[in-house]
Amino acid sequence: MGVKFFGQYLIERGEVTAEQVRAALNLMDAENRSIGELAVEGRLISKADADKVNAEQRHRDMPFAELAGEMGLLSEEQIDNLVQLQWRTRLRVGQALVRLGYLGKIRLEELLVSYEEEQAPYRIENLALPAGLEGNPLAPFAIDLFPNLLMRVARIATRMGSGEPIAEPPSLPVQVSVSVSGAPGLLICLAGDEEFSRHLAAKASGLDPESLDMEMLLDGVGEFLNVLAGNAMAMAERNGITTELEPPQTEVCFESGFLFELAVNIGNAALFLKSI
Amino acid sequence: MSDKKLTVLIVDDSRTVLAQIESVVAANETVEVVGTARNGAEAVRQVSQLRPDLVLMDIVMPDVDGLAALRLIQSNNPETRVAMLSSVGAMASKAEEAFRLGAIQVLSKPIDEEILGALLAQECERAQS
Repeated sequence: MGVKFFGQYLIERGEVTAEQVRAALNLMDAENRSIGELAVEGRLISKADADKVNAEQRHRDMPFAELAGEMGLLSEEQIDNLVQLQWRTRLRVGQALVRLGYLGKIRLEELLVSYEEEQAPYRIENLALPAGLEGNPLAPFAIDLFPNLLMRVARIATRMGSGEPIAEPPSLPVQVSVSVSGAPGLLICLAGDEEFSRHLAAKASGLDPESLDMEMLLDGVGEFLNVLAGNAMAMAERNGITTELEPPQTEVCFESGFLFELAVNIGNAALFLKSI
Repeated sequence: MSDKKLTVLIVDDSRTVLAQIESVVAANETVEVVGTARNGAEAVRQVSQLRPDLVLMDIVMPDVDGLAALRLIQSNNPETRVAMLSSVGAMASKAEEAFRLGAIQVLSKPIDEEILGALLAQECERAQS
């Protein structure tokens, strides 16, 4: 169990094959319109201007909307509206599989219900965030998923305190961070004592806790953060928010963010979040 | 049916994950890990040298990431079956790109050992038939 893409869920259950999902994605590619096409159809920019942006994209690795904004052809509000329009109107993988005859319509509805039920533990509602994290699209998911994933990966029970502006770095020896870039992005750091980190790394790897050196402890904590960030990104993406994940870092900068004290049943740990 | 083992290459920048996958693979006597790699470039080289039946590969890795490596592997060695196993595997954008590039499955982390075991069993059956 975990956050997953609907196509994965269907393959795992044997409802469709990877080849059928690939055919559905091809149909989606053929039918779903790009931001540029939507902007021209909505008469927000001319075809000639859209062609200019496309030509510029050959030299610069940037999404159409971002580049058009930078070139002064689309406002921020127009870009937001286009992204939402694209998200609302796109053909979904389940619908494409029905169109291709790989799934019945009623079966799709049944599967969507069971998929939603499986994903329900990962849905969040009205989570209170510290003022400095309000509006960050990833922070609510990271906070909500944290206890659930820590229990699942390492059988560590945890209760989280409310986030407080950081006064000084936690005096815990194992400190790892991951950065998620986006607008805005999120820096997630986990600090733990040796007992907590050893237990987490051992459970995540299946290795004997006593055989783990410091590099492996850092690696294990970093991998847990990867999983936390990846699952939060997948949830945010369902709301139309695109982000990218960077590999974990062991040089952590605890500045102007929020520290969440953790009550854990093994060792000591703290979670630090910062909008970036 | 033959007695040939399913040969697997595991690609992940995390030693923790390599160890975990190796332990799942070790539980299946008909599967053999023939190599491990810590980034995409190393994976592309090893696939050409070792010709594994199956590659289990992460997506977020330093230098050459898993999707770029998948593209190269499918271009150089199109017969290789590649399953992605990643913390960003649940993102529709990443999973869709992986399927488009020829992945046979995209599994998300944390690793569900039962699902990984089922994938290995399915690939063993396929290799032996």
